[in-house]
Amino acid sequence: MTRIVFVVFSLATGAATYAGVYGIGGEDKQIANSIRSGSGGRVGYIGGVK
Amino acid sequence: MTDGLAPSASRLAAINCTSCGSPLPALAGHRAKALICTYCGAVMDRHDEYRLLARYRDMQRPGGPFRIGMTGEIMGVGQTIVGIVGVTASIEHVDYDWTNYQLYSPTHGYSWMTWSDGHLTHSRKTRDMPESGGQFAYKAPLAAGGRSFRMFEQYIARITYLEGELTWVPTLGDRTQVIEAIDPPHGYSVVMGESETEFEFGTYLDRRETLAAFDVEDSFPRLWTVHAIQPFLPGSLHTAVSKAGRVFAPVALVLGLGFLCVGAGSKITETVVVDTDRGGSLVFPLDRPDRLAEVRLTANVVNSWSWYDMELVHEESDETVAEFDGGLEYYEGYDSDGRWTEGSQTATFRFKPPVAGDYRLTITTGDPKSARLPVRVEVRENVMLARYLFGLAIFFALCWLSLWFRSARFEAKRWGDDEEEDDD
Repeated sequence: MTRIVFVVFSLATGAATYAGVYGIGGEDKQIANSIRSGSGGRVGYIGGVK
Repeated sequence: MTDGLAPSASRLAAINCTSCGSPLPALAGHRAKALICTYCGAVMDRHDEYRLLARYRDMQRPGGPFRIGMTGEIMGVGQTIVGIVGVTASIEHVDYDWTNYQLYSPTHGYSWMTWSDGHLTHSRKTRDMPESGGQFAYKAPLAAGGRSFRMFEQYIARITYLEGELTWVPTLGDRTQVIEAIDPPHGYSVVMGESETEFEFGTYLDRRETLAAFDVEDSFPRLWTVHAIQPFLPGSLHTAVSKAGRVFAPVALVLGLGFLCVGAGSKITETVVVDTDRGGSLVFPLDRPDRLAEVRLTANVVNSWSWYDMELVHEESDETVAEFDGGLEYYEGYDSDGRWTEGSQTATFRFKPPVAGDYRLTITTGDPKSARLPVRVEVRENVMLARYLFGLAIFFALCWLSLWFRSARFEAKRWGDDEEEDDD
């Protein structure tokens, strides 16, 4: 049982390291949406000051 | 009938009650002094031709899984149940009842098995007197038999039921003062009667295993209390998760801290746009589309805000890749609690470039009401995120500590500390 849990935790640590290195989920939504939708796809404001 | 009688032979022996004539099994060895009739409650002297000593009618047999004559193995020793004693005690104004089963083994003599609230324990007399702790003091240490116990409780036990063969001549209603000390899964009791004081060494028994050894089906309610000497036995999965959590929590934490140190990435370029109404731009290469890039704006806004429109253009194709906006706001002041601040003079915008190549970022004032201040624009690449590793470190730490929390709750339940908290 211990071995299985160690393997699972190792995989989780590896996945978190990978996600951290490649910045998965770290993009600002507004920019990501804009890039996805092509030129000028402004979606909203960041920070909510305006 | 001697103490050396084999169990198989002892099962065949029987005598008739000298009071009511009912057949009674004679299973114990010679040292058993009394026989109490199951049917009429007659107490007979086994060492004096089963002379009638007393009779207790209408005794209510206490609950429990065993009957006289049952045989089974306890801690590797074959035992026969030869007698039953019901006991009650009032501890801190709460009445507790339990059932003691007198056990007999031709090789190991007499001992007790106790059924209490669905828990099973085994106890035997010991010659080990307490080496310290003569008087009861809650949770005080008590050393005996090479073990360190902690005093658990003291009470006066009263006999409520008698049946079968017993090693002494009991009287219904007999009272003994008991001091119990614990070192789970073991216990040590000082039993003070009117004429003598005895010492007992107890061990917690696995219920399922013990009932199976006596061929009794475990159809009894699930244990919901913690017995004084019940050991804390977490499951193998929880033990493994806690063990792994103890190893991986520091690993994830160190990795997370490492990411925090180097995860800011490398600065590619920076510039200061003095007049944001006129706007400014900077060109920079982004070679890793699979890695995060970051635009960081810094301006000396104080008790105001500024807002910017930004455009990211791929130089080679001269196509606008993204348009976005964002701002800074920062406020500070003093109140009754002292100095306060709100917001930040820095804002970051993270993105992944769609393709490798040179990019141009232009920035202009995004709102007519925005503060006009020089803004420093910095572009970084290879930015890493520590949040996943920190999250994982917290999760692993919780896995590790959950066992400790469970153990602490178990101990609180054992000592009744949880009830005290509830009372508060």
